[in-house]
Amino acid sequence: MKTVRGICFLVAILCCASLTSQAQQKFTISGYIKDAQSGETLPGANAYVKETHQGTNSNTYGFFSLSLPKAKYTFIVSFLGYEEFSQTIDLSKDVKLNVNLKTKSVQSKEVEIVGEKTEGNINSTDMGRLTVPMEMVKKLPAFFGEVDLVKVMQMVPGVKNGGEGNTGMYVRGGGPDQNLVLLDEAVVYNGAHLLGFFSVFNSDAIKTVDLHKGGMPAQYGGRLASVLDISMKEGNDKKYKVNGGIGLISSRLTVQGPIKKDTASFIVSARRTYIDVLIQPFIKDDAPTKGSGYFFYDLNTKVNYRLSEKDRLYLSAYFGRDVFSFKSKNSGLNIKVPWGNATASARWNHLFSSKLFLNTSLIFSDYDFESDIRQMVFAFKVKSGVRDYNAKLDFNWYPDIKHQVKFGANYIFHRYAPNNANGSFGEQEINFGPAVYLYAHEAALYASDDFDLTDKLRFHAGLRGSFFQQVGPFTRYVKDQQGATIDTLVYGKRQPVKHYLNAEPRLMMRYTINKKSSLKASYTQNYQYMQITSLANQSLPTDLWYPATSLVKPQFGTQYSLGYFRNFFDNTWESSVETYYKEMKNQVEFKDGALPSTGIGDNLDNQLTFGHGWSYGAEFFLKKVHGKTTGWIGYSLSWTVRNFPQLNNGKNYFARYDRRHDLSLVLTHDLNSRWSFSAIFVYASGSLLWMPTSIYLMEGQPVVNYGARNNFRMPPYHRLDLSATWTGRTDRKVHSSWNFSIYNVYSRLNPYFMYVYTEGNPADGSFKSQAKMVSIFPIIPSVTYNFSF
Amino acid sequence: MNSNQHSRYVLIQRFSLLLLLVLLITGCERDVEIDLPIDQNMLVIEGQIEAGKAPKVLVSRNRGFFDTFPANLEDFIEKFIVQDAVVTVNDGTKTVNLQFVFDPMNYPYFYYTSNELTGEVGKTYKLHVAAEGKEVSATTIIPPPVALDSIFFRLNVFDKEEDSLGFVFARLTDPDTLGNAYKLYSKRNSEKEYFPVEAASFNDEYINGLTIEFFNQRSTQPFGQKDTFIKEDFFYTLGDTVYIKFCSMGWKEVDFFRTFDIARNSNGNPFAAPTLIKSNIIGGLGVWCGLGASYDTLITSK
Repeated sequence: MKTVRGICFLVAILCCASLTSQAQQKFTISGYIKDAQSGETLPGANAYVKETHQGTNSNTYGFFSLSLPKAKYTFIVSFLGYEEFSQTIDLSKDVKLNVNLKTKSVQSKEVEIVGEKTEGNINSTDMGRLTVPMEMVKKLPAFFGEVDLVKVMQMVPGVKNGGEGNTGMYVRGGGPDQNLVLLDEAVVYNGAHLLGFFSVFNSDAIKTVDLHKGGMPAQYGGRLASVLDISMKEGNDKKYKVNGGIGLISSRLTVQGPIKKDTASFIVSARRTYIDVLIQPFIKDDAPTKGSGYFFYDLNTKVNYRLSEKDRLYLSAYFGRDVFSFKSKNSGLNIKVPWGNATASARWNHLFSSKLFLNTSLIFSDYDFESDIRQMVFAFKVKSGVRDYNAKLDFNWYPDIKHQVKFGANYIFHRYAPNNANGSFGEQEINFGPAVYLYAHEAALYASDDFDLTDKLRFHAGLRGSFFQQVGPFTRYVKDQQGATIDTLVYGKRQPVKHYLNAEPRLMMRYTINKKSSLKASYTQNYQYMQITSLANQSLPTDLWYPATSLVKPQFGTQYSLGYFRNFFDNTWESSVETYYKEMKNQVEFKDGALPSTGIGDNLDNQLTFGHGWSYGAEFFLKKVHGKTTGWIGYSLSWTVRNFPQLNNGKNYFARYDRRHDLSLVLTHDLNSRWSFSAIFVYASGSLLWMPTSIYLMEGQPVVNYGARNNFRMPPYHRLDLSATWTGRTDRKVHSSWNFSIYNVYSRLNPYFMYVYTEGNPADGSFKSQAKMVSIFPIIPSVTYNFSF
Repeated sequence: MNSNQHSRYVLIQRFSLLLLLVLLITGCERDVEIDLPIDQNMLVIEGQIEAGKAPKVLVSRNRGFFDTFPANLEDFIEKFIVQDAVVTVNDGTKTVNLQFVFDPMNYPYFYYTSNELTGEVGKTYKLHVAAEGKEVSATTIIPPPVALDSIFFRLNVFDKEEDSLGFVFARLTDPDTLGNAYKLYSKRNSEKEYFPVEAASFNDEYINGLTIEFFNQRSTQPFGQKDTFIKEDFFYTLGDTVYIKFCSMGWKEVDFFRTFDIARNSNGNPFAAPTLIKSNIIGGLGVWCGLGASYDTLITSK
């Protein structure tokens, strides 16, 4: 029923859109917006006509289209950090215009966070959206010399980190698995290196980052909390360029250039850490842990080819691996753990007309985790991961200047490997059962329209229909209350096991109060058909992705938000207050006392229990976007609650990452063309832990009893980082810059986690209980040298 | 390998990754003083009734996590042991009052028992304890004993130089019907108490009707556990006389012991998820467990 209603709604939008376009004879200005020097397309640039102040933004591929009545116009294209392009156009026929924007000269150059000196944030329907240029990210204090875009995103109110140095994002009360992380449209299932201290995104290979934490437009789906949409650079199509950076623990190198000038280009970017190599000479040959080590590396590559004026082809790929090995001579333990992501996307842009743009994508995405443990007589190996084959069609239709219609379809075939173990004991193989894979089809259809209903009222109305179906081969073990198998259902290859069909309306609205301020509201519904199941307090690469099944219902989120946006001083300052209420149904946790099981005669989801959660709060944002000093202050006040009938005696409890207060301050100051300085300050309430409340004796040994869930809040987290960037002369052949950063300037020992333990023997008086706090990073200075030629 | 042993290796796998932090990062760990919310006082039951034997019920109290631990025996008894409880066991036909005894020669030394009651296979026993204004109760059944097919000794084969230390293996054929659960106790040479072997409590969920082999390390005598790992305490030595007590019990009872095992193992492991011990005591903590035991003896040889 819901679906039918949804479809009617959709048809209504499209009719509305096409009707208005019939009214008057119109012509179209369309084309691509590019960087004049590198030939990189520029998504998100403003293209508008001065006379009516009507306009549009270039899409992900830099394409724009404006349909206007016959007249003479001043056509303007503007984008952050670029000189404005202006041209008078006598619009009496369709005009194709590719715009090459020049970067602003060094003297006048300032990093601006969003948009031009226009009211972009006031006018758009976007709520909880932020675009951060990589140029800004690179000036901020670097952690161990590595700049990290995800960490910058964590400074936005409403986005919290998972703890010291962690790149997990917790958006408005959602878990890290509720964020859709896309790299050139491919889903990145594990966005972290080194247990979360670095994100997998190499800043040299990234062009733009776009975060949606509030209303999620209809072209995105499959997650409840947010979308982090990352685009890789395409490569300079004018000349060869090499750039790189040498840091304390890692180095980066990027090569890009034309394959055929102005037609085809490539980029290859690589990064590797070398702590393992650096420390090797300092470890004695007879050290008990000789041979242990850790490194990670990333490889990004992309090729694009302009087949014709109407067709473009992009091929991009990412491959990254973390490898950890541990050897202990004393305990005979030998561990090797590699994990990582691989993605590949092939995309084809086609222009049917100056008003209709199509992108077709074929995407592969894979996350693998492996661990190999040997100790004495045992050998134990576990493999897990997820693999997707994905096909997408995305249409952008610009019927007239008042409408921007997006519609498309998406199909994904998923293969999940939750936990495949094998092992041996001496010569004897241990039977953990055959490898278990779960298969599923996921599909979606969507349509949305951005339109002006009146001069003051603008809407983004969208609808997404999503479908998910688990298919065989699959064996379902039906359990009774005691956990004994009472029935076994066997499904053959491709045989449907369970399906879900849902409609997800998305509605965002902007009401302009005056030129300086507006009121925005949004209502969105999302479904999520997979989740990470985790037993531990920390999120680890071992965490498993598990799909919706007949037991695990799709997660369902509804978000209401309301915001007030106001600009000051000729749009130099932007401010906003957003409030939200979010409900999340069918949330998943392990049952109390669940143990990792062998998978023989059991399904992982038999160990799960289900509940719901809600989150609400207010976010305050004040941003200075122009001038020598730029930056922002963000503060959020929020509550995140969970209720699971089978956990915590059915009583409400605060989620682990419930943080009452979260404050971020980001500042960048350009002193002159050589020096720029920046500072970051963060303060956040401590996250919650579940701690024991009493101790008792059993079989002569002390054991602990846990009280209510998440009954203990860690001390607050705060930190100040500073950095200075020195840029060499730009008239030299080799451009160079130095970044000097100090992480945690006043060396606060922030809690990474806390735990309690007991030691000693109760019988001889040596017994005691103790609490420990682990902090990881004290003050850390670092230097990075960056170059390009 | 039984399911409990498997779980341990999955946990090692998780733990190993976090060694990274310790290895690579200048981590700083320090003692801190924190305030934890305080539990209400609860009664803790460690009770068992074995076929052919009298019930033994130890009643104790839980204490605040950071409460100072009693340093001497008198203090220990006063703080932990409940001596004036009213403890009754009903076997379906009669209700027997258990008397408190102090028996310094036999674990658990302070317990409630009665000569008027002897465990019988197949019978249901209801325990009721009232003390200090609190009441707790539990029910257990004594299942028929299941004998092991065989027990044998194997050297630690992975250590090529090893010529005297090893495990005692047990071969078990699980009966056809689902619902069996087991726990293995052992002692060696002149040791007094049959005491539980770690990670040797399991049910037949995955092994119903099958014949399996599982390995056993040595058990530790009551209050004999040490904080450091000593190889000689972990393995059996060639020439040891090993006494095995292999007990059948209900699933709820074995759930207690399995989760208790995990909880003990995760002590001091900051990355372990909190383990909730699954108790079959209504209104309290601990376990009331009926045991059907079979006994074996082995002199270890190559």
